[in-house]
Amino acid sequence: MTTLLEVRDLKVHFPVRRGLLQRTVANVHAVDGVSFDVLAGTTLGLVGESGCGKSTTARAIMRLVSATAGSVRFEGRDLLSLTGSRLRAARRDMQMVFQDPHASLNPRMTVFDTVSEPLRVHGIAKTRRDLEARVQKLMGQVGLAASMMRRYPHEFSGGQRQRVGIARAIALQPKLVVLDEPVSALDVSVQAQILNLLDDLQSELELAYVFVAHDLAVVRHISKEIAVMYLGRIVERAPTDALFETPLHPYTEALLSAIPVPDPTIEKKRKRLAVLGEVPSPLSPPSGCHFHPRCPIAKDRCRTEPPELRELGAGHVVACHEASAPS
Amino acid sequence: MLLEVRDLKTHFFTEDGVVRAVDGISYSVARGEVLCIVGESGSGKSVSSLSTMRLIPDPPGRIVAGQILLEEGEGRTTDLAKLDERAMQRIRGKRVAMIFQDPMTSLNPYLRISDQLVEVLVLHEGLRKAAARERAIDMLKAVGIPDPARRLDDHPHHLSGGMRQRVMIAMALLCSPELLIADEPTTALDVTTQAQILELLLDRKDARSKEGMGLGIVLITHDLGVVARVADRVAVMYAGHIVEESPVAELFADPRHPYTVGLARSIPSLEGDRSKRLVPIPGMPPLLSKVPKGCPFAARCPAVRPECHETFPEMREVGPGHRVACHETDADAVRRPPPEVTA
Repeated sequence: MTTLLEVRDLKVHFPVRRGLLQRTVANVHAVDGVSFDVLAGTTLGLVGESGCGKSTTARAIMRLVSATAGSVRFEGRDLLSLTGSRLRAARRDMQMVFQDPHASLNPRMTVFDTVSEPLRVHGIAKTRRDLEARVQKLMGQVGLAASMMRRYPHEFSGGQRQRVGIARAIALQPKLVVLDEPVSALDVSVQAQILNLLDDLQSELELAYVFVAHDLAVVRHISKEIAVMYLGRIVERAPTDALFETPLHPYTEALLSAIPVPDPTIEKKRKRLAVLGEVPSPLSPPSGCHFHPRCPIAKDRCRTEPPELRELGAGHVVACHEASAPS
Repeated sequence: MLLEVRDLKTHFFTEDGVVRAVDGISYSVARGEVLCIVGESGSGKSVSSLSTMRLIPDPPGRIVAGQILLEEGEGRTTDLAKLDERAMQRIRGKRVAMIFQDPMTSLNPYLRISDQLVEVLVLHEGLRKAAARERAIDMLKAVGIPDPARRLDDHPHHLSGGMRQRVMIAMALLCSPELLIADEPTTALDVTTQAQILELLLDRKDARSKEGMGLGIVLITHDLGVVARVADRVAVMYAGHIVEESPVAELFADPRHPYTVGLARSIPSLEGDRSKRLVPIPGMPPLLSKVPKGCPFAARCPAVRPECHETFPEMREVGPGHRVACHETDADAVRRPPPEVTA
């Protein structure tokens, strides 16, 4: 399998401005040196709690926010240096689906207008008839009746709106789709419909996904590989099964043990790892390893020296001084 | 029973017609017990709890039928559905308290934490300011807020989401209520914080039981994991109705309503074969202003029978404390998977 996306040491810093002159008094290191690869046709899951930088990472890849440092290569081209028509051309191959289908669809545009817009912008369809035929096909691909394309977003349920968002994203036959919490706003019975749709589209169109979510069960279902983020850094990255079977970072372990599972017999017996307190403010992250104030096994070194990512298993990397290879 | 809700109907009278948000539900909560009401958006789970607190905006909403009976001791009860606003104010916050999903909507952003907590104590308990402050600090400490004496003078926006929810819980528990209604109290929180808040709720409940005054909790959620963690009993709501009610272990081991089965089946799992395709519930819930005749789940139900489109099934007992509203009596038929739908 070929590497489609290559993210190296990506940093996104947001200035914090204060006072009358709006001087920059600090920088929030929202994304602080993130690296990963996405192989063609596969899914990388990005997980973490609020403020960990997972959405900002996704947006930086799409160039919806500007990166402060690092590189993002898509099929070998450096996306961060592209401009104008070259950037537009690259964008054909990468599309985004957002969390809130209410906010990401223009309420004044019919579904036809929304789904056909990328086709028109990129001059794909030559005639009106061609355009209609393509939109009709896309509607079918995402499980919507073609007759619905004259309607407006408010006439659709949350799940249907997310299908519209997906139809728009796949209209240009991209190679990569970045999905930012695509099922978080949906009820569970509908969430499963959308996850199945994404599964189907992936195998049908050989799409690669970067799937950002906070729900680990959802990410586990869809991802081949998962990166766990904490305060702007990746703390662990591993093939999905390895991550769930042998989590190596104390934060990953804590995260997994905090999720309540839908089985009362397991739940009543389960021993929880106590994670102390809450995620600190990204404005003033702790020194050394960002996780050390909450970590049950932190040593002196963790307070001063940020751990590098080390490979401790096949494709299993972890940033922790204390972690050791699974036996 | 601490609280007994009987055949409650709360409807909203809108331009688009009557929205039957809650359409004849009955449930009860005992002291020391956690009842989870589980359902998806629009199932009526929040409206049912707002009805108990008498916080339904009127117009357009109104409790059109039913009783909400709160225990008074010696076999007597008060019907909250019949109380006027003044009488209700003496109960709200004092005997029945509520916490919401988003603490920012219920904490006044202009007031310090101390103002909000001390006010309740002065109003309901007739404490003097200094004594009230003392008690507020104790309560903040009990809900795990570090450095409570200093936090008391903060405004809500100074606190993180988890800390705000702790303050909400402190506020709710301040007057030692008998019943606590928690509407999606952890939905807006991160999982590590959620685990702490759920622990805190159970911990406070146990502490109250030891003091001899059992606290009943109604916890509303859409998350079956949360249900499994905290519930003693569960009521499953769909389109304004309770379709199944059961002790928590039986609900998961032996679900008898096709909707309960479908809900459990559609969640991706944290273990086992992950290449297995998910089994969603086909279609979507009906609009509450246009609920069809018969069982509201019929259109999505894999075990549907002709009578389901005609009459709403009566609740029937299928085990101790386990009741279900479904025409299909064969447990295997109820668990039949839906036909595979593509895309």
